[in-house]
Amino acid sequence: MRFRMRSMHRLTAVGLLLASSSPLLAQQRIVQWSEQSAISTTDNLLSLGYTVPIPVDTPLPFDGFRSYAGLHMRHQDLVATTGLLQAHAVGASRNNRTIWAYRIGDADTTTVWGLPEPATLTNAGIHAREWQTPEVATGMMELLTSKASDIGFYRYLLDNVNMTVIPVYNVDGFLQTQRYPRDSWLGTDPSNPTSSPRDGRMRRKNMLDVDEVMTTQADHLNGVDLNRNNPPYWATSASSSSASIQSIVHHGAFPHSEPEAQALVAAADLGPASQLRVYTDIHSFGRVLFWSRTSDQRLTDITESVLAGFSAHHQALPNGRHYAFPAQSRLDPFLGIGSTDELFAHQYQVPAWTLEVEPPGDPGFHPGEALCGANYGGVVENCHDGFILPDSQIRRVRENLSETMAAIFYRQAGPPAVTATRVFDQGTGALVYESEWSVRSNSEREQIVHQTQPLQLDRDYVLTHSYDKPMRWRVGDVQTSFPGVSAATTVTSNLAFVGSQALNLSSNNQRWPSQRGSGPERYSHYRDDTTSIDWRLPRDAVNDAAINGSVELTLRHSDTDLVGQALDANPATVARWQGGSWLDYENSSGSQSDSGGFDATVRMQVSDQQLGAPFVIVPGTSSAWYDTSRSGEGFVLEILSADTALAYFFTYNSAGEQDWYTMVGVIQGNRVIFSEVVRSSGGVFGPAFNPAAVVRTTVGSATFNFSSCDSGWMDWKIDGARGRMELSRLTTMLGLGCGTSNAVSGPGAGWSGSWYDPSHSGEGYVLEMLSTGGAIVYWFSYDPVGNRRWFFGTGELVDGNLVFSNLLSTRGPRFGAGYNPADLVVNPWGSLTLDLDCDNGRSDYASSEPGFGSGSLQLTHLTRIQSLACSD
Amino acid sequence: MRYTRMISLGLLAGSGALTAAGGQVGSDSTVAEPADWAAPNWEAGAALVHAKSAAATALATELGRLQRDDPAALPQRLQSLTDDHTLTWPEREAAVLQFTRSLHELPRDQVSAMAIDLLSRWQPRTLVAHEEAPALGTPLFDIAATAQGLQNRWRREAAAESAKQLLGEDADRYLDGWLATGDPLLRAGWFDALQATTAAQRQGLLEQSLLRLQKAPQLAPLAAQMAIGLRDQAAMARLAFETDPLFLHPLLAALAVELDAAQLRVLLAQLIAQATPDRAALAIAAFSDTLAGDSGFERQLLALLDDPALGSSAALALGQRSSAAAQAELEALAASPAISLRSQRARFALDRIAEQTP
Repeated sequence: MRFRMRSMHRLTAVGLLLASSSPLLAQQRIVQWSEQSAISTTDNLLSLGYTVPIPVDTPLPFDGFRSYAGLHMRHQDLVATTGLLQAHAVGASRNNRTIWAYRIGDADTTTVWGLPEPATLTNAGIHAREWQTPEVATGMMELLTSKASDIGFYRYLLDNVNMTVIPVYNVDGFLQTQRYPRDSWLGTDPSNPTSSPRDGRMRRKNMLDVDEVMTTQADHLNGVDLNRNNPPYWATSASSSSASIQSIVHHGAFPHSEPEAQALVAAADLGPASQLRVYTDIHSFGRVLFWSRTSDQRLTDITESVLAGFSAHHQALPNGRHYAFPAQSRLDPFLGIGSTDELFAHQYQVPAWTLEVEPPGDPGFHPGEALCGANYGGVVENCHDGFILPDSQIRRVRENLSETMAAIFYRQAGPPAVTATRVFDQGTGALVYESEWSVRSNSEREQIVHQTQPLQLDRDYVLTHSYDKPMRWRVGDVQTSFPGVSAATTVTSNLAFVGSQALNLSSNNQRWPSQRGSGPERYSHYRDDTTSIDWRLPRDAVNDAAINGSVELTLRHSDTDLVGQALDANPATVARWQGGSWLDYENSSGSQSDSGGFDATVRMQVSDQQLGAPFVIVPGTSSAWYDTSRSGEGFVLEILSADTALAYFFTYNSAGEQDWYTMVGVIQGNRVIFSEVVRSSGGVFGPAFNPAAVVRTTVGSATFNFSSCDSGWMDWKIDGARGRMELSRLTTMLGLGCGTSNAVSGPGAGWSGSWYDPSHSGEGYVLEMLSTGGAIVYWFSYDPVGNRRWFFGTGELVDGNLVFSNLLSTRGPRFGAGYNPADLVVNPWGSLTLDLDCDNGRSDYASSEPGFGSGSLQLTHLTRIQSLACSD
Repeated sequence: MRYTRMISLGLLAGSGALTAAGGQVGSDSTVAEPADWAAPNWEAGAALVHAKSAAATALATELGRLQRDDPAALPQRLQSLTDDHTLTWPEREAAVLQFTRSLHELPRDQVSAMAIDLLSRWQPRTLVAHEEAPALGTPLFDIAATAQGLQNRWRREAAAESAKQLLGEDADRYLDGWLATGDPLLRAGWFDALQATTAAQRQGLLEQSLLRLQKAPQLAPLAAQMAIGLRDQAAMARLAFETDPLFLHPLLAALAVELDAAQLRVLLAQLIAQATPDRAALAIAAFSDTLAGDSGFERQLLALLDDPALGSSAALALGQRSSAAAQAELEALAASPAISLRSQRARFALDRIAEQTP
């Protein structure tokens, strides 16, 4: 809020009184704000020179100011309609009105990587007359909740940042200003009677010891300035804080004496407070950013940088304006006034500041600009007109500041870190190297590296880096500089070394993929979180000298996020906010920093030998696969064609009961990308099975990677949880070879694949005819009450039928990270006979488990393994 | 553009034109450097004592006399104040501020343009502690803003006088001039000029502006102003769909007075069906006082409760004022066991009713 104008007008009035121009100046009276363009000292009007804004009872944003009822309805409706806003009653005002805080973003408080979400807190409406501020706060809510379908910057914020907003903090005072939008007392302010309008439209404080009837003069000056009621500097400023309840800067009876102040603390706890990374108190006017300096130099530097980012971003917007802010050298860390930004800077140790919305009010801060209401064509009869932004300006102010606040949230969400680095062979599409960082705890990540083949000289690759946030900005579909950030500061760099010897690299055609997925031309979570570049190690004198045989290459990679923050050089430790600065945001030397550096954690083998093309998926990759450390669960993979594969995931649920998933994927080189993992439900075992009752739900995704015929790895994401497994081949199918292993031929090879009864769509058999003789079958089904179950067993060919005399069932291990193979219990389930020809067949089963009974199904060959022909 | 306060370098700040529209200076990110703001150089109380001195009064009087008797000498005298060390800065600036305000009482052609230009760029010297940031100095005497407000007033007056001349000639010339004037301040002057027109002139302006509206939508606010003044219901209703959003609420408020309930309901239905949601939402707000308790209006609102964009407007209008019958329907909707947008909005309306219940 701009305060010194009181003094200016005191002098103005003194001068006028000296000139004996008007007896009205000392008279205590209610005056009206008016548009009247000519200044008059002879009536009870304060001219603005533009239309006096009157609040309108409408929830939707328009070119004007909404009433409190309109704003509150808007907030509640956004909660109801967007799913991206959560309402919290954080306290009550002096007059027992609810103070609402809203958390913007998804409902959880965990990032998509499983880390605690960083939090922001924005407070508006602390000074009642500053109508710009609830509009700006509401604009933030409107902007962010309108971005549900965004795939980049805004979706990242919604998913990963817990953004709390109090849109109308001093609700009693705000209502008082809206009750009297044209009226103020003049001649009553104890310090500046002739020039400082009070109460009505110019009420600043809360409503302690004051009624809501403006004409009752005796109490109209009362109230507490909620921006003076806070520790640690409560009541320490003689010039900016007062013990008098009539003072416009009355600090209250004791720190946080006011219920509104306690509500602010409760709102901070929504973060929770330990996750808070920036606090903004929105005021008007002055178009300046005041901030609180502490004795913590790192916090000081970061806050100054945050404000620089705010100022640069806002000015670069269309119709942007320059917000000035003082250098840290001008601020005293041991001086304060009891404001909320001091509270958050000193006690919560986060960048904390006061955003004074326009207009400018001080030629020192904005040389050459029109000040106060003159900025909008006003006549400046009283510079308090700066609190009365014209209707014509509020849409721009609301929308532009909302965008800039989002930029601040993005910045304080944290510095960027590499989440994965991959190298793809251009010729085959095969993944030859992968370094992926998996979150292990709130402070640690684990680097998981796979390399299927050493990199080779003179071979063309695609190098990709994925990050934990979007790294580039787009307007529409066109990538461009983030507002206020020079394009020169956002440059990707890759250098390669063997020991200390730099290698020569050919890098070109950098791009930021536009499709989500897995692969060299796909982004990971958010548009522009992954970059790809064509990459080659030329065979030349430098590289030949450095690379003898197979040696380790170290990649030194650097990049910056949208706002110019460099990478966390060590992703092994999660960069997070603690005690006023970043923790584990290492620089290039591995030291703690607030500026980051280059990431040199990626190391891969490179060879000067000609090793040929890397392994790619072949029909013989069809097999059962499992992680040797997780006996009891696994996958059955069917390669159906050159580009399509089917997999069944037989596993357990969190209670240790059986569970299974199906997935159809796309083959890329040595990978199968399953963009949808499907869970089927609604089926029951036996004759009561109703295919129409089966519901198939996409619950996640998975990727399989094969480094050879017999090994690989996979990762999955199901129901928001993540996991990965090393893969070892469990079976080899009859008729299929792989690599140097030739195909073994035999009868019934073409039976391999999936079989089902069309009247039982939703359950079925997966059959593998084995190269070692016999067969293995997996039956993915349900129990009589609808729980997913699977049974399996090996069988023999007996008189043309496949006889599985001992089908088994399992239970025990729990899904995911807590899987313990020692918990596995294997139980007999029953028997199964399959009588098959190439296309059709029949199954007969008999179960020893109670409730399952016996029966038969008429089968159709649903899927066939690529290259396995079948002849009756 | 690192700003340094030029305290000792001269009286006036800047040399280019004032940026009345808000200082848009492009996208040079280097402006994001912190400002090296000056520290306070006066304690406010002490400065005020100086401001009340006889010397300050004498200087204000001297400046006023110069303005009256020798305005050409005024700029030089203002500039000479920099070196007038017989007075403190609070004395000098208090006098200059008093003088600047006194200029509001004079016709603009009697004031030296150079003097008012100098005043609008006044570099403040009396810096007191900023109440929100006590370590920073802020001007005690806001001379520049006061002069800038005066300049605005004069520009508006001049625009009004020009517009009056055109109005005396013919409507088309006025409309051409309006279209050529993009500056909101000047357009305010053009609006001012309309106060002196006859009803016949305003009717002519309205008709001409409506005729040209399709090719020149910028005329819509002007047409709306005319239509409101003339209480031309048909024109007002048409303009409810076409006028600039900034002028929409006053127009709708005027319509709420001019039209009867049935007409308002029809217009609202048309706006809901054909206009953007924000336009229809403003109509609901503007009409809800006039139509309070009107059963047809309440039916319209109840039907809107599940409208994604307008449901909140309907809920608010019903929550502000509604009949017992409408409240009963809201209660029935809110009691529905199935949570829907309609039932939620009904609950919002009931919450609003409860808030207003003593």
